Amino acid sequence: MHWLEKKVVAYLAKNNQAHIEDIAAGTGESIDQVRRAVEWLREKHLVSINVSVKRMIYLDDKGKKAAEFGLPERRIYSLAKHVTGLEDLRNLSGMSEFEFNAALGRAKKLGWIEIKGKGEVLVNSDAKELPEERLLNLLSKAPLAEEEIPKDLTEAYAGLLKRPGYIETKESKEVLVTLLKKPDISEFEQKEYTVITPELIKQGYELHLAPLDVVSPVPVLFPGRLHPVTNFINEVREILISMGFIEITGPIVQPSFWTFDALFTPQDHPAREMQDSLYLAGLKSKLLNNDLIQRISQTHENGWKTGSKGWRYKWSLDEAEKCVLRTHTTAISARYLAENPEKESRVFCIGKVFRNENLDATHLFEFTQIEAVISEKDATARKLLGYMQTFYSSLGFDQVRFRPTYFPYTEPSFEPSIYSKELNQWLEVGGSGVFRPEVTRPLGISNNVLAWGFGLERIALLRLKEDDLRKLYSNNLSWLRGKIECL
Amino acid sequence: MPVISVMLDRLERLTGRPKEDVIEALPWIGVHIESIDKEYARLEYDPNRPDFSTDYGIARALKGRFEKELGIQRRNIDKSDWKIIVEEKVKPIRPFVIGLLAHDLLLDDETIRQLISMQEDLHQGIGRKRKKLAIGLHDIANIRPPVKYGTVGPDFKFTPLGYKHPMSIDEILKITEVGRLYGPLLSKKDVFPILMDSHNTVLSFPPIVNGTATQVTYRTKDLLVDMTGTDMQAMEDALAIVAEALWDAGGKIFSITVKDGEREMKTPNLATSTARISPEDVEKLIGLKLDSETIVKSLRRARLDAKEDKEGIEVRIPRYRVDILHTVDVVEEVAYGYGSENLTPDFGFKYSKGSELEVNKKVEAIKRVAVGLGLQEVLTYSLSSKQTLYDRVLRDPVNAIKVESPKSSLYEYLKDCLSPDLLRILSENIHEQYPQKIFEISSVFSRDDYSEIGVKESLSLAVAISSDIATFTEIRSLLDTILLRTLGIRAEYYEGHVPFLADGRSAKCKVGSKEIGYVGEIKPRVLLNFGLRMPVAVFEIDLSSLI
Repeated sequence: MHWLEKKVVAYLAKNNQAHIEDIAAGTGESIDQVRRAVEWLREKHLVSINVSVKRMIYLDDKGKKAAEFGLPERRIYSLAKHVTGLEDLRNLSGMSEFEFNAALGRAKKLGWIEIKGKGEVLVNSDAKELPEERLLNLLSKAPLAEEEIPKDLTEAYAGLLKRPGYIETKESKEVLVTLLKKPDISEFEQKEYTVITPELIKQGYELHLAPLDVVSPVPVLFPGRLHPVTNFINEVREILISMGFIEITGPIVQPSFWTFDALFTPQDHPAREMQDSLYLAGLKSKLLNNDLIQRISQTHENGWKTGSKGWRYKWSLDEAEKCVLRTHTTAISARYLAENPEKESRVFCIGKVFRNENLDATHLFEFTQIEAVISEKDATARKLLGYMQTFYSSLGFDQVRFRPTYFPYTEPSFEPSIYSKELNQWLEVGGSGVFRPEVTRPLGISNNVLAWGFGLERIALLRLKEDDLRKLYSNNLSWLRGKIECL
Repeated sequence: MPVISVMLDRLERLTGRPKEDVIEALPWIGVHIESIDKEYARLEYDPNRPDFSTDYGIARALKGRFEKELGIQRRNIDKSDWKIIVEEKVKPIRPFVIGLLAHDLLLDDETIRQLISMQEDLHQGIGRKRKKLAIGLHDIANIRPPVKYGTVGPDFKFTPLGYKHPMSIDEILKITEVGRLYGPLLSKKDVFPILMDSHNTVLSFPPIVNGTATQVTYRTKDLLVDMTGTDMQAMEDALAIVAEALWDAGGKIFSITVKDGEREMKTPNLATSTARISPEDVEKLIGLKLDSETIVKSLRRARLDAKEDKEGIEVRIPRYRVDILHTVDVVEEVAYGYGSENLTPDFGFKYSKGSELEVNKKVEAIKRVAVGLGLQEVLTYSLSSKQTLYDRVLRDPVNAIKVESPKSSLYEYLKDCLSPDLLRILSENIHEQYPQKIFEISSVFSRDDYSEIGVKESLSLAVAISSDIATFTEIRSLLDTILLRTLGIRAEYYEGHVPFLADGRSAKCKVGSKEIGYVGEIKPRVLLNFGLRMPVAVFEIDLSSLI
């Protein structure tokens, strides 16, 4: 026998017959639980049930008001004791015209009030409690079944039914449960416990614990977690630190000077157009280092002392002072190098970069760039390939290849690709190269400077087995909650 | 990056090597294969190599790699008595013109297609959308020299290429697509540049459109190429590239004299330039120890001329190699000629101690505690829309930082706080199970007239919780806990107005005398603005001032 059934039978053993609600109250179980148990017991022929339908009477809105403050005729009668004129009575009653007239009519008919001449109100001293009022009082304590109404109030009940809004009736089912077979009471005397409480533990002996339903579902929980992109950034960061790189950071909003000019990108380069890059409206930066500006503007115009021909155009300070949302973190690397020109260093920067793109499955207007920079006397292009090979294989991509490519600020330049076993294809992952003398010399650097950078999201998609970049930043909770952490 | 489509059969014919070899070799000369079908390949080339804008240019580089041809091709320019006379009036509008003649060409459809695609790529790339230069190709059969480079008024009429009837300059600018696209390059509204012959046959209305009278067809044997523009350097670069392609197409190149007042100039100018490198330069930059002989051979494979002398290696660079600005570019050509595929990674790194940013360590610690409190991290963009950042949260955009001409209104404003986008995220997740608890740590931006850039960036931490019992008490206890357990700080709270928080159920907070943020329940009106059906409580604090 289920513990619920036992509880119900034990209750019935004492009372023989009881309604479902009473059993629930007596056993401390919910009505639904008791219904389930009674159904099981009925199937075992241990109880019978008898369903009866009753018409229950409840107070309606007006009825509730009348139970508290009296029927409208009573309210007018009470008020009339204190006023003399009909008009005063009408105004002070707070009733609608219709309600007032009906109440006044009833009070007159009952002989409680008389109206004389030009609206003088006379009040009878004695106004006994009406049967309707007694009934309303009874109902205000608890709803009654129709057959429970006292005989002397049946007329009043019929009267109130005719007055809309005073009482309402609803059908109610009552289930009466009768115990058919008296069980051996001793089986039920042993108390069962559903919850282990601190008090019970103190008793220190084996308790009779009610078995639980261990099969049915329990509430679903969602742990707090990091965003998958954060996890991936952390992984990349650890690899670079293990390769001896120091993390650096810097502002997202940059003068064009550091994003483009310092990187030998000519001022009419298509990447600098508003169609490609995001500039801040109405803002202009103040460039302070005049010597540096001179060196860089001359490098653009005629190569300065770098040995270059330069781009051979008229460089404009105005253009360099525009505020741009950095298009690459190379702006940060260049500033770091300018501040530490002689130092041999390995640094990296992880940060957001921006492009004026429409958002789609393969383009973001804002994404995360990782860039690593090596400034060393004996750094070479082949060493750059060595660093990249080490990095990408640490990330789990053992097959890496390099193809020559072009960037305005590196020479030679390489485009690394990694092989994805899942997609069975080579994927280009960013760019790399040796900074041109047109970049390093004006910053006062004589070391060779190697750099490689890539967009993190594309590789993150591979990792997460997704194919739409937008998904990464949709912050869809079922996606974030559904991720398997250990994959 | 620019893209050209080439016929694989033609590349086979031009290089004398089978398709497979060509396809295999392309990436190693810096050309990326975008797609290939039976006949054509779409190739992406780097913008510093405008000479790759025809299959002739690509074949030239491949032939070096295949050692079919080495070094610079010896070419001759013959003199012609053709002249282009520059009139004074045109100079303020579009000052320069140069040109050349190419005789005895055999133009099939594919050759014409290649020449036109080269013209377009040069217009877009070094021509900067025809601003710096525009090229015209003309059949000389109908041209009677000398050619005048002069001006006409808006009512002047001729039949533009592709049209049947004469149109006025004004009509061309208003009606034709090229007119609308490139018309704005012409600064004056009443005088326009024109190239016409001695009988007033129009060759071209630069930089807009050619005349139909000199149209090039498969019957054309002899070409005149004109180049007008504002940047002589870029024009000479482009004309050298055109000359090289026409030579490879089988033409004989003749010069044209440009007469500008008393000054006469023979064009095209195809003078080579020289540079010097040494084996040490190669070793220092590339990390390859090569002898002079190998370097010379590699350079010749890259289609430069080179010879060893006592002081090192002298290199001659043909005029069309406009990408070579510095000796590092020449050294890179050594790597190309030697074969980039032969560059092996060098793993000889020295030991160096890496480290993480201090600020990141702290941010990560705070994230760990937030996660421990059951909060899910979200990541949003630094840019947001006016609707989310201001309108829906009842904030005034008076100090907003706006970006110029964004392609989408989704990212018009740089965020000065994170909370509005957290509300947006909750609004996009109303069908997900509650309670929902999210947090973000990211940069926010505010105006700062005293900084170099006019903008101050700082790190902000925002938390939003939503459930049927998300209350002030719960959100404040999260804030108290995070501050106390990550930074050992207790904040003080005081009444203060935040537009999107319910008055009386929100507070500002400070540490010492410094205001650090706010905490409270979101106003029902704001919840409705976001279509949220559950109560939400948030806090946001400035982390930069605390860590």
